[in-house]
Amino acid sequence: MMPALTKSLVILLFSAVARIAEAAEPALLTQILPGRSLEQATEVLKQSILAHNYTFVRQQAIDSRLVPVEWEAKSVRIVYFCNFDMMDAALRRNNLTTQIMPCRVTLIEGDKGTNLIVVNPAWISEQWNAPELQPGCLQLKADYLAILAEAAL
Amino acid sequence: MKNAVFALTLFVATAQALASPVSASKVGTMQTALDDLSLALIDHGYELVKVQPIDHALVKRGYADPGIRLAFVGKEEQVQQALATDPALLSLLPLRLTLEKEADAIRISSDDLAQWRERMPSSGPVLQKWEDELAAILSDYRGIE
Repeated sequence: MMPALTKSLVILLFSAVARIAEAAEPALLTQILPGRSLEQATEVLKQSILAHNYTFVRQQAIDSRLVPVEWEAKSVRIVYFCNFDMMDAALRRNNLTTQIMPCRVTLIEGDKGTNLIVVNPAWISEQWNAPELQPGCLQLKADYLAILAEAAL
Repeated sequence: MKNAVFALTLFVATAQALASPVSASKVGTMQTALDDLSLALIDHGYELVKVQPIDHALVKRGYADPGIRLAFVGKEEQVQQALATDPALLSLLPLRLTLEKEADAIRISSDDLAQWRERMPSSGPVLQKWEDELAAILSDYRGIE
């Protein structure tokens, strides 16, 4: 017969392992825009952001303000955007959500086109131990995917 | 069996304890916090890239004041480190800090880089370096009078 404490620890352990196994969310969401330059990709991304009811905030080189303007990277850029209703609702629930604010997409120009990379909010929120935040993060992930997909059309 | 269960439980508990963002709090206003943070950043070779005044942006649009601002910080070599290690790390740059009003104090917290170390073990040393630097910056922030 297993003692109660050991039984509890086994249950705790199995639930932790089960949570790890369920953590199928990718850390990053990516989309390639074949044949698009960084400038072209930025423009279609901004149009897609607006089309999905988000507000464009700003764009900057990855090393903006870290190097003189004339030395800034020409092939890596960040685009920031947000939806103020969602931001307000998220902050009313929990300040941990600042870790996914504002929305940002990193654009990396390569030989075959421009890659768009986003940190998956649904993966970030898995670590918060706050199940009430997961639906909002899944919605944000869905919005990101829709924005990236439309930019790639 | 007991020992194995205990060891595994301890491992899980330790992993969960490690997966917490770096943070520091001290008495002051948002402005004094930004001033002190700027000094601490300079001492560690960092730049304050951008302050995102979420509080002002929301209040201006009729929402409640969340008492939150974001600061994006970094240094040039981090871009090179990311490119050399894994370009996916670029999606973390510049690093984000959250400034949060707490009664008469301001708490500054980093994002949880431990989560990234677990997911991207090959980038672990770079991520650990960034986390250590942020910890040192926030420790200095706490200590600046």
